[in-house]
Amino acid sequence: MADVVFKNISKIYTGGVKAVDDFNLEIKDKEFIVLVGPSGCGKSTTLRMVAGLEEISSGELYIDGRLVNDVPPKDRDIAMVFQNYALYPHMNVYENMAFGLKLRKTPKDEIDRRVKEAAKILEIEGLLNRKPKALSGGQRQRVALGRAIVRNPKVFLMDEPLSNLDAKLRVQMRTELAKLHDRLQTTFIYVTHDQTEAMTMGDRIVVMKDGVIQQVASPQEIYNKPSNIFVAGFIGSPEMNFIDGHITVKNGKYFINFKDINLALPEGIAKTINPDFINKDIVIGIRPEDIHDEEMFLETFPEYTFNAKVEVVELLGSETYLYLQYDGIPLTARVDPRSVARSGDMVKIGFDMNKIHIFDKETTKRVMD
Amino acid sequence: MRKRYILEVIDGYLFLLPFIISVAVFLIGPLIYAFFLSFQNFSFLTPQKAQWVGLKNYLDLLHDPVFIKALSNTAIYAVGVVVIELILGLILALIANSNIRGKTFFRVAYYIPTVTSTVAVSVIFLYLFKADGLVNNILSRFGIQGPVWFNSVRFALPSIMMMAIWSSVGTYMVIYLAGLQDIPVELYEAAEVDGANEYQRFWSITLPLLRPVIFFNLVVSIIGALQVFDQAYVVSRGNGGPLNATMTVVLYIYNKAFSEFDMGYASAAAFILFIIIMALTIIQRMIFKDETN
Repeated sequence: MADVVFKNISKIYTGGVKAVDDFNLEIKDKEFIVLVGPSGCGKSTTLRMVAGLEEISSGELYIDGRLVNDVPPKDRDIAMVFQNYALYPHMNVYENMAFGLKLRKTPKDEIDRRVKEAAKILEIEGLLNRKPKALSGGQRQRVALGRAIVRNPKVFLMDEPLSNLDAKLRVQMRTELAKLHDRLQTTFIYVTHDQTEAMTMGDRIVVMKDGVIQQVASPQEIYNKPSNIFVAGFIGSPEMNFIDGHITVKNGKYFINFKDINLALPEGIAKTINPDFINKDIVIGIRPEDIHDEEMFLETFPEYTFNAKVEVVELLGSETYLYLQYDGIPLTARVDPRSVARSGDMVKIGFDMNKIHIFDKETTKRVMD
Repeated sequence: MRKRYILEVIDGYLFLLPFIISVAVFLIGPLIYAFFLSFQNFSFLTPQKAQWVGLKNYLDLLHDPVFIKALSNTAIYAVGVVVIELILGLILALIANSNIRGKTFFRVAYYIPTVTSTVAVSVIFLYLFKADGLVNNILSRFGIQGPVWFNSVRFALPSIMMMAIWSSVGTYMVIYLAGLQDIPVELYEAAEVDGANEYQRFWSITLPLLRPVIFFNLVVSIIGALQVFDQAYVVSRGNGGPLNATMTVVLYIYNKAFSEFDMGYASAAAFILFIIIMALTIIQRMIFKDETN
């Protein structure tokens, strides 16, 4: 139970590679924070700096108000779950979990109590005498978690803990981790490259790229108001559609324009746009689920519609993806499975203009509230 | 189906045939013949006079003071060399595996003696440890009167042991090094986060995970040590002197077979060595049961 504060943290490797650049963040006590980004974005390095496994090149790191830059890992009161579990292969499950406590000279009966309690929470009581090689991936994952839980640390660090599990187990463990966080009431710092994990688990998400924080916000805000093109494209699947275009004003009314298409912007949205960007090069972003082909929408908002060619249709059962093209611009739409569009068809589609995102083409930053 | 299976088996053995023939002719055959000879009074010079003597060779050997001396020399040599080699090899491997400067140099430096011919090494050591050689020369500067090493009953065997350790510790270092690099870094990191200091990490992570490698090194070095021959041969010019101080079992077997041409007796001695090595290996396998599978 502790807050973690990063002040201008940087990590520069010998050879001058900047893995983390001027990282500033305040993680609140009991918060579940997720660092997410593509590989090489510095998220794991950041986590390892918190663990003390990586030296901090510059800046200050505080755990529970204490400056820990030069504190060795064992004195930071943190526990870490590694991507490949890092279970000690020569120890059985019980010994694996008890190891950290033994080193801290915890009394034997106290160790026993804590290990059994953690085993109960994680439902691995029956496995305590087994060696890691006799466990399945999911069971190993639980043991790795157990090893962290018994220590009762101030901060839990997790480095892609679910990436070695199969898809089904990953979904299951996701909810279990969230439950575990509720139960333990401890600060969690969680690293992943999987945006679904980030969206479903985090209280707040930190999106990183090339060692720099792109945005820190709640999952909803990250999704609904991405601060730049990178975040917009990284979060959400299928990816957001991006179209080069302009904002134009005619008779006091705002339009977005691309190719020969002009779509009116609702007044509510128009008001939030930075007027400096009128007639400038911008990038229009629209999520696949905000492109519609159902009759209801097209009739209600005829001014938001145009015709596009269907190239591929993917039926997923609960939803259908349409891969469309308009004058060389590829568009992906997530539509109702009842859609009758088939590949080769020309179909009428409409953008939900209330859900539109506008970015500066030059800086890639969002130019609306 | 059945016919196809048989054809496949024949194919397989045909591919194995060159190996089977060479092993049979040069290894199994001589082995069986030697076993047969060990119950005979057989000399190269007069093979027609060979006669069956039953266990006489074996019984005589157990009362042969030179053979007993050779056994005890070999045992002392094996214990000393194996223990020091394994510990020193591990220490060198830990150094070569750490992040010190010039570790590549150390790795090469320690390994070079291993790829050098043992005879060449023995000759160099003979010069170094001569009565007026480099070693005694250096000792004399500190006021120490060095012994006549290889000609001293007391120092001859330890000198050979030092030489053996020097020349083979590199092999064990390299095998240890491979074992050390097989241990995932995350385990050390996990232990570090768990609160283990460097010493605790060595005892609870490095050593247990190195057990299969230690076992392998132990088996190989014991077998090697029990078969010590060339250093003893070169240093004593083949006679195991002074006063049998460097007489080893294999040297004894060699002398019996190829100096005295008493093949039956030599074969019996060879089989006693075989039984000892076999027994030790079985004991090791039992102790290190986990590691052998």
